[in-house]
Amino acid sequence: MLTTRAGLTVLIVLVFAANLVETWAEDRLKETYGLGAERAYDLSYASHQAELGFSFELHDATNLIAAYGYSLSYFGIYPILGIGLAVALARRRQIGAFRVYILGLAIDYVLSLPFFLFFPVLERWAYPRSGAMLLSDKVTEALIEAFRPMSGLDNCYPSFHTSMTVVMIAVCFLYKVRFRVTALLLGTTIILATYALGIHWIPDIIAGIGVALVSVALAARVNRKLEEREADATGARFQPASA
Amino acid sequence: MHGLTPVWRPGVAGPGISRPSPGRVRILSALVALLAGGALVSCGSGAETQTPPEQFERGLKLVSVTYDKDALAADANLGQHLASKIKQYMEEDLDEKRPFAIDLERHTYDSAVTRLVDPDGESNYVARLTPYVYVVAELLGAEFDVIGTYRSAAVLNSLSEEEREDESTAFTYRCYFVVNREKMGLGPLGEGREPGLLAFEEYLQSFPRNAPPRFAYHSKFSASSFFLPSVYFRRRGIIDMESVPAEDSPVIRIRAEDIAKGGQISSKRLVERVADGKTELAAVWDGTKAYFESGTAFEKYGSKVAFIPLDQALPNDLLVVSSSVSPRIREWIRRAIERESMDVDDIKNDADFLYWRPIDTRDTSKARSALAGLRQLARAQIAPVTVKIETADDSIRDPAAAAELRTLRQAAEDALRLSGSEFVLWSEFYANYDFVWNLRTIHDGAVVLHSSVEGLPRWDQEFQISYQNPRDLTERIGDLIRGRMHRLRHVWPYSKSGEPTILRDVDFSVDKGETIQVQKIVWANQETNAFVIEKRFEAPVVQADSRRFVLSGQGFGDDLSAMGSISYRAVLPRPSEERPLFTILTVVFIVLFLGGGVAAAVELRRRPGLALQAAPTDLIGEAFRSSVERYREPWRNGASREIAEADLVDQDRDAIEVLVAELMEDEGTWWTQALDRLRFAREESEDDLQRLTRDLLIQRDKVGGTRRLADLIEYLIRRDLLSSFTGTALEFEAWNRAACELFSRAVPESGGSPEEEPQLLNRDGACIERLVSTHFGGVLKEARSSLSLFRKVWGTRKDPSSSRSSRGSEDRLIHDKWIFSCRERLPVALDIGCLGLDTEAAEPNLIRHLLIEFKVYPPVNLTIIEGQNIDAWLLGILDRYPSVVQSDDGESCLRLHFKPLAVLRGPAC
Repeated sequence: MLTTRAGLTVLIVLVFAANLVETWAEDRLKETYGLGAERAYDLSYASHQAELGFSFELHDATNLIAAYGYSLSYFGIYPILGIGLAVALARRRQIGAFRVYILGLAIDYVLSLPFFLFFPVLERWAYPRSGAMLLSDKVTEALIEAFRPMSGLDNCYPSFHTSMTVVMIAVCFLYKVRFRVTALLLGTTIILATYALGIHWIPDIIAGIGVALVSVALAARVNRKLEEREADATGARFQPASA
Repeated sequence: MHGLTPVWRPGVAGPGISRPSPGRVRILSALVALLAGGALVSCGSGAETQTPPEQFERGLKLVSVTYDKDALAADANLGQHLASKIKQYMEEDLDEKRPFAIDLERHTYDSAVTRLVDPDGESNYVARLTPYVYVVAELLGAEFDVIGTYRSAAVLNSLSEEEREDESTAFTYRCYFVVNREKMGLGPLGEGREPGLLAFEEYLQSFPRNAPPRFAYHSKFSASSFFLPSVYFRRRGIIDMESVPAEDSPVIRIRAEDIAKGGQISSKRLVERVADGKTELAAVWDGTKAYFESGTAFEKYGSKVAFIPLDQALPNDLLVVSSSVSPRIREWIRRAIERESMDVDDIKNDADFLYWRPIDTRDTSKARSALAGLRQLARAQIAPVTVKIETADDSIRDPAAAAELRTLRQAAEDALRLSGSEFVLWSEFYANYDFVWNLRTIHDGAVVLHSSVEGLPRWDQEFQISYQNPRDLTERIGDLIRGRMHRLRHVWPYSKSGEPTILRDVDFSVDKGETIQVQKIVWANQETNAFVIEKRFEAPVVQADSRRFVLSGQGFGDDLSAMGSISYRAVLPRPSEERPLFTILTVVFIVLFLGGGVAAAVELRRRPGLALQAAPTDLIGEAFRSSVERYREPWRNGASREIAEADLVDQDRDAIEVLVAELMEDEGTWWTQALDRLRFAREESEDDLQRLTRDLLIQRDKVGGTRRLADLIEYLIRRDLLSSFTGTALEFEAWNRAACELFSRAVPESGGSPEEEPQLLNRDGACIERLVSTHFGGVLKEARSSLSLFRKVWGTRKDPSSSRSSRGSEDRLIHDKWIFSCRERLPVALDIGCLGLDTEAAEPNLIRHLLIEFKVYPPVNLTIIEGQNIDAWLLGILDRYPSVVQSDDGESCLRLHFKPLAVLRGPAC
């Protein structure tokens, strides 16, 4: 699975399918049994206190440029960047970069999953005392409705948007992707969007960055091992001429 | 303390230092203590005792509100009394003898309010104010303090003897409606019971709706003649209306008329008009009423009217001092009107003033109470603001959804009830609703509350609310009411003409210059919120402070009246400004987004080739290595195991065993090798490298020479222990292929063989020559320390310098040495200077041929004919420094001499 592009594509599809199932199951459990609802409020309170109780009061007065711009980043640029990068890396002759990217995302999800299941933190706007609204609703409520099956309301910690974006940016720079600076700048708007739209707390973002860096490091390590194994198998291993 | 005290001991004082005498020390100590104490005292009390000298110099103004010359004279007397007392107290308290003047300023009601409220006016004043002027000025922001009130002669005269004895009476007065006895159907004065307010209302209702009773007043600032009646009328639904109300309307229609028409007339005229039947209603105070008691000059009028008392008592005129007047002078003024300082004789007058008393004494407690009541009445009565709550789809049939909507509605209704605001839930009792709240559920169970003001879409508000449970939703909506929602306020009906004023009672401000929406409404019934919006317009705020918002007069008519049915209401928009954090985030977004666009444009122009692949330096090495690996590919496929004894041209078995031993030492210590042997013996499955290692660890005498050689070659290849030398300079071919890969988008894929590879690099370029030479020099260095394996077609000849000699082995027969050599044209000319050889620079600089040589003793089973060409692999090491030699045809060659370890015929592979 990890040695072919098709296999890696299947892997990432499985990751997203698992995410869908997990989100669906979590929602059902919460709706039917109220599982985790109280804890989510407690942990959201903790997140709020971690920000020293900073309130998003008058968040709804935020200008439309921010509302539309950050919504574009969060709901538009994010998937475009993710898919575009995958396509660009998959077209390369060497599989390594594509593998690191896909593995990075998969590891990212695996590392985040326990937090999603056992450490439910509500999105900022959904926590009543935060004073925030979901700014993208100023554009249209359809945005979050379309996104919700993939992103549980209390799957806030760590920020998967942030961690995926950091994985993308890191892979872009590790493998010198052509539009890496563009990816960095636009990726930063995605990370900021998670905050500005009233979705994530600062601890989520910090944790997301941390998880992403660990994921990329692990993915790169796994990739190196796989490349060594492949080299041993095919005899394609080499050393510098002057060695 | 003792330790800190200097001790003077006899004999220890140094030369030139004289010891002070004990008496002198005591005096100094006392002085210091006095100075310190004095400073403390002056610091502690200085703020209270200090009076600005300019207030002594300039004196005070006495603001007098009156139309009456008697009252004016009384005020002049009051001013003189206060000035003389202050002068006296100044002398007594401060020991200062200086004049102190209090100048009289006469004002009308209107100008007095302006004078007191104007922040640019003379700020040091004492003023005698009628109660209503007092509360109006206070509501509009005048800064003063009440210091006293007076005892009314008129009120005192109306009291019984016993009541007059009580010192606390006559500090307040009453207000009376005046009606014509005959029109009301009353008998002569003294016969029967005098009418009350109930009879008064019945009397008003008796008038036909198209011929309402007329109410006369002489000043809008008169508390008794206008203000108090207007409050009473409004509460009882008695409205000055131009149009005739509907038959079923509970409203009582009257017509109000200003008989002074902006001029000045006495309130006595009001009574006379009612008595003469020129008007049906009026209102006066005790003092005016006293003029019309029996036995007075106006008895003839008094006998024709009835005085119906209102419940609310009013304080007499008030003596106030502006806040800027110093506390000492204020205290002196207060002392000047105390019982000990002022008596009836002190302000001799023909007006109503008996004497003044401080407001904070027991005698004046009723005045304080009446003043508080007046303040309450004067405030703009906050009309209930009705809110109609709608849910997104009230007729929804899904029971679960309907239940959720009911919960939302209930939470919103509870929020209205518990918010402590003027908002009330609209019901059928009310004719109109002021706000409409629309509640709808959105994603994730959140709610959106849309609030709109009827007819003013500009002020719509929308709030997204997340909540934990219905109780939480109630709290959140309550918070929104108190902290976020716009408010409806009516223009104060007692505003000055041309200065529509909204008394501020909200915690947010509307900035000067901001335009707010105003609706002119005509009340049909205030209790049921029945009104008609006559027009809508915008009005800019011209003044805004903590007490009021003054609007521009444009759009407002002269029809605003406290008694009228016309009212102006405005939406006070609660500021909803973006927080700086989100402004910054917006700027950051724009910068990043534009930066992203610029970066994309730059990166789009960048050619993808090199950026898509590895860095060039890595590419060179990788491409070369790749070519070397490709060159040795046959040995990776097990070809070494196919070596036949017949193919072995030469083999130095001893050297091979030495090499094997060295290699195996690198594999580990003796005991790890022993373990490996054990492990290999037990394990059935093992990879190729493990097998090779195991085979090489086996003693030499257990395997044949060809097998040993085959294992060694495969081991060296798998461990990457061979040098990169392949008998020629592979660099050009390798890099040309790499260039083809780099530019693969532009160059069609080749078939894979080097011959078919397009030539992207220039073979004759000086740059490529230097680059190849430099790299090839490195390869030669490597070949001097590592074994090389390459295949050539060798020419053979006997070594003329060799004689029959032995290699010291009894199993080898003695033969002549043979020289195997190969001369080959290089793909690219080598630059000697770039080879990095330790040899001296040779001429010429460019070399186009390579000459490789080695010497062997061929085995007996191989017949070599001199001049015969043999295709063979050489496993050997470069044993001498490369040198430049001239070949027979005069070409310069780079001569490489190898020491062979084994030579194998080519066909073996």
